[in-house]
Formats: sequence, structure tokens, C-alpha cells
Amino acid sequence: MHFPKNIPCQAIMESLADGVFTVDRDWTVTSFNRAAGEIIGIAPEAAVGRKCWDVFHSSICDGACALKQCIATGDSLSNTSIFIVRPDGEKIPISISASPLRDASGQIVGGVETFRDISELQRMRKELQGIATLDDIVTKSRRMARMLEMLPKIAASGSTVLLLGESGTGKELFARAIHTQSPRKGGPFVAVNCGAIPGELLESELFGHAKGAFTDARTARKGRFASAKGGTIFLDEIGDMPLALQVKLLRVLQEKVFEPLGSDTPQTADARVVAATNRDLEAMVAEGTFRRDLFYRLGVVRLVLPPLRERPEDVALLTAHFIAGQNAVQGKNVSGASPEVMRLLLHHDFPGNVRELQNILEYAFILCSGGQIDLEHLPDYLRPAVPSPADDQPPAAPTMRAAKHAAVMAALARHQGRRMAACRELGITKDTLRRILETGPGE
Amino acid sequence: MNEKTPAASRPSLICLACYEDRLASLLETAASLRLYRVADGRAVFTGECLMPGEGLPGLPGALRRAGVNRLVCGGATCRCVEMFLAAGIRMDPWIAGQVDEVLSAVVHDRVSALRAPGICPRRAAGGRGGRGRQ
Repeated sequence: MHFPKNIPCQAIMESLADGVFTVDRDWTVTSFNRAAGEIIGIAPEAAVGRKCWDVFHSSICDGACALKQCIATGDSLSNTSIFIVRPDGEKIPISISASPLRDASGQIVGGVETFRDISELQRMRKELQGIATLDDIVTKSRRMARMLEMLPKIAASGSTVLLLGESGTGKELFARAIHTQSPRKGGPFVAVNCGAIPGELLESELFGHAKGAFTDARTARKGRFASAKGGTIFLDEIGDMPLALQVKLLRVLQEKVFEPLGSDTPQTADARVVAATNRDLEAMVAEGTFRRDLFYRLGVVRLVLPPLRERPEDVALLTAHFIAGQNAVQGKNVSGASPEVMRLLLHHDFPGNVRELQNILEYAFILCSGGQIDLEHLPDYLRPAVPSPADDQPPAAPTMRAAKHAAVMAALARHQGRRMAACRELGITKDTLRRILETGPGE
Repeated sequence: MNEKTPAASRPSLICLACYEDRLASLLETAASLRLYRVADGRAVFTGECLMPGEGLPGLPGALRRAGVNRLVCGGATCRCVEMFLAAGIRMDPWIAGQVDEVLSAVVHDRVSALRAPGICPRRAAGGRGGRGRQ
């Protein structure tokens, strides 16, 4: 195309709705239009002269840079979906196109990237597909979608919420969504796993302690309720809380006050309580291991999250969701799961629920560098078993550390020990490869 | 960053979320989590921490177990910042620069001078701020 001379390029750049910026060969930003500033949240004068990775904070800046690829190959790239994190801490999906920039003699002197915010497009696409979303929760299940519909109202109410469901069903995601949708969203979100802290330490962890309260208490320490002031405290595994402490928690819920261990001075509790458990609290109440009054006080609003096996419509959706996420984070281009893999996943029971599906795909990403995820990329315990007369026991699922080590060793073998070639195939840096080799496969 | 905290007044273990020889653009895409012991005006490399299998949600716990009490990193979402603050780890997000430059800034207590463009002081302190435009 013939481009007229003396055209006001600056005016054209400023009139565009898409963000446009250019870099030189040292990755220094040389121009940055108004729309780029609006999408990214940085004024053009603050961006020009800085390295592009200090301005963009995108999912591909650390290792999978589109401009670097274009400058290296001389080719263009278009409509790639990535995400950026803006200075206000919000994650925004964008679509980018990139090209090398050449001077009059045809020498590459830098690159140009254009991008647009596709948040609204993604929201509309999901609506059309019958997908309900809220924060990090995505679902096609009508039962889950109903809960997501109710969630903003529940969040706004300020009531105590009890989340019930098997391990890995997303109770913490729901708790976080209740916090971010509530008027307390500007305050802290403090998560405490009551099952992970020994009973005798849990009281001090929750309510803090005064100086000299016990042998090692050389200084006073504030607890998690005090840290959650103005925000939300998430009490996970509430069913593991000792009975003696249940009485104190009940007092906090009823009277909004607590005393740090070893102190007589009451403190006001200003934190919304969201609790969760995978245990059957009603059965625990019946057998006397959980207080009935606390159970009812906690469960002002009670949400039961269905296990993944009861919402098979979410398996394909979550698979696509996690693959897109891993692609963005790892800079890979895995197109999806093969029909055989999808068949297998749809027939799997998922005792570990959504977390298990996420782990399966993370494992598959280690072995699959592009194209489709196939059966060979899945953990052994998922693949159809080959009968062996010598061993009737199902193989144990490998750890993530062992899987990474195995993937690295296999790639090195394929490339006759050439580390950089193995790194390129696996999509990891040489530092990561060295670390995986150093830490070994574990037990 | 917390300007009132004295520089390296006692030995502390600091984690830098890096990509190659610079701070990673985003915490969640960092290729290496390098640990440095800071004492007596020096920062000494002590090893690396692995990103846990479950990714960022497991990182505050992993860093705490490793004894880390401060994290210096590039961009981070609000949720991510909340997780580290709740875990009691001091966090300096939205910092940009080469590893050597950042370590020198840590030792001399001037990390805030390395704020990424467009970042307001409150955001860099790990709090909730506005759009952060300059």
C-alpha cells in the first residue's frame, strides 16, 4: 500500500481505539499511544523510555514474548489471547498482534504491538455458551449457576456463611468470592486452616496472645481475627476445631468480642466469618463432637458445593478453562484435549474433584509441549490399566516433582543430552531445568 | 514499601521472584524464586525455592516454611497481595529492575525507588490503591 509522506502519524496513533506501542531492539518503549495507556493503566509519558516488560506485566513477558519471536523470525503474529495485570491489581484478558519494524533498507530496527481489551467479549461469549462466572469460578451446572446468582446478595448481607462440600470442590474460591463481592472487599481476606494447626495453638493463632501468656510468649502477638479487621476471616476445616475452642468462637459470633490468650481485656471482633468443612457436621452434632448452637450460628447461610462427578457438564468446561490458563502462564499453545482424553475424563469419578482435574492437566502440560493433550500425557493412574498377573495393585499416582523429573529426563534423552533443546521442547528456562535435575525425582 | 522499616537491622531471608537476570514481570510467571540472606549490609544468595505444585495459592505457605519474611517481585494481582499479607510475609510488589540493582536497593532500603512505571506508593506497599496513573 502506498503511504503518503508527511502524514501526521502521531494523530493517527492517538485516534486509534486499540493500544499501540513500539520498541527498539533493546526492548525500550519508543512510542505508546493514548489507548494503550487507558487499557494498561499507565500514562504514555511514564511508559516511553522504559523496558517493555516493566510496563506491560503480561503473561508472556517472562519467556514467551511475542515481539521477541517476531523480531527473531521476521514474521508477524496476530490475535493471540493473553492477559495483563494492571497497576490496580486487576487481571485483564487482551488480544495482541505483533510485527517486526524495518527501516528503509529492510533491517529490523524494533517491533510494534497492537492490543485490545477483550474482557467484554469474553463475558458475552460465556453468556452465549450458558456459562456462569464469578471471579475465578466458572460453571455450566445449573445448580452451581444458581448459587453464583445468589452469591452477590449473600455477600452483601454480611451474614455468616457455612460452605459444605468435598475436598477440592472450590470452597475457598467461594469464600474469596463472598469477600470480593461484599462491602468488606477493601479489607483483608484472612484464611485459617483449622485442621492444619494443632488444637493447643489454634486459640493463640485465632485470638492472639498477651506477653507472658505462656512460656515462649516473650511479646504480645495479634491473632487472625485482629488481622482480619474490616475484612473477612475464612475458617477452613471448621469441623476439626476442638470443642473447647468452639465455645470461644460462638462467643465471637454472638457478642463480637474476644480476649487474647492470657489477657482479660476484651477486643472487638470486626471480621465477617465464612467457615467451611468437608465433614458431615450434622452427624458430628448428633455424636456430640460439634456444638449444635455453633452449627446453627455458623450456618445462617449454608451452601453445599456439589462434587465434580455430579456435574459432568463442567468437566469439559473446566478442562478448557485450565488449558487456557496453563497456555497463558507457560506460553504454550496446547489446543485442547483429544476425544479419547475427554472420554476418559468424563468417565472418571474425580474423588479429588476440581483440584484433581487441575492437577491432571498441570501434569499433562509438563509432557505435552503443543498440539492436543493425548492419553500418553496423562498420569499413569488415569490411563486404562494393562492387566499384569504379577501385580494386582494399582500404581500409585506420581508426585508432581517425579513427573517433572521424568519429563526432563525423557526430553534430554530425545535430544541426546542437549539441555537447550530439551528446554525449548518443554517450554522451560535452563534455570528451571537445572533446578528440576538438582532436586531429583524424590522418593 | 514500608519506609519505617530499618534496612537490614536483623538478618532476614528475602525472596526475589526472577526471570533470567531481572525481576519477573509478574510474580505468577517467575521462572526462579531466589533466596538471599540479608545482614550486615550484604545480600548473600542461599538457594532457590520451588513454585509449589498448586501454583501461587501454595506459595505463601512454601515461603513461610522456607523461613522467608520478605518477598520482592514484579506485578501481582490484589488477591495475590492479600494472600502474602495474610501469611505474614512482607511484600514489595510492582518493583522492576536487574537482580543486582534490586539487591543493592534492598540492602540500602531504597526498594521504593525501583517502583515500576505507573505505580503509586500505596500499591507498591501492597495495599489497595487506585488506578495508579502518573
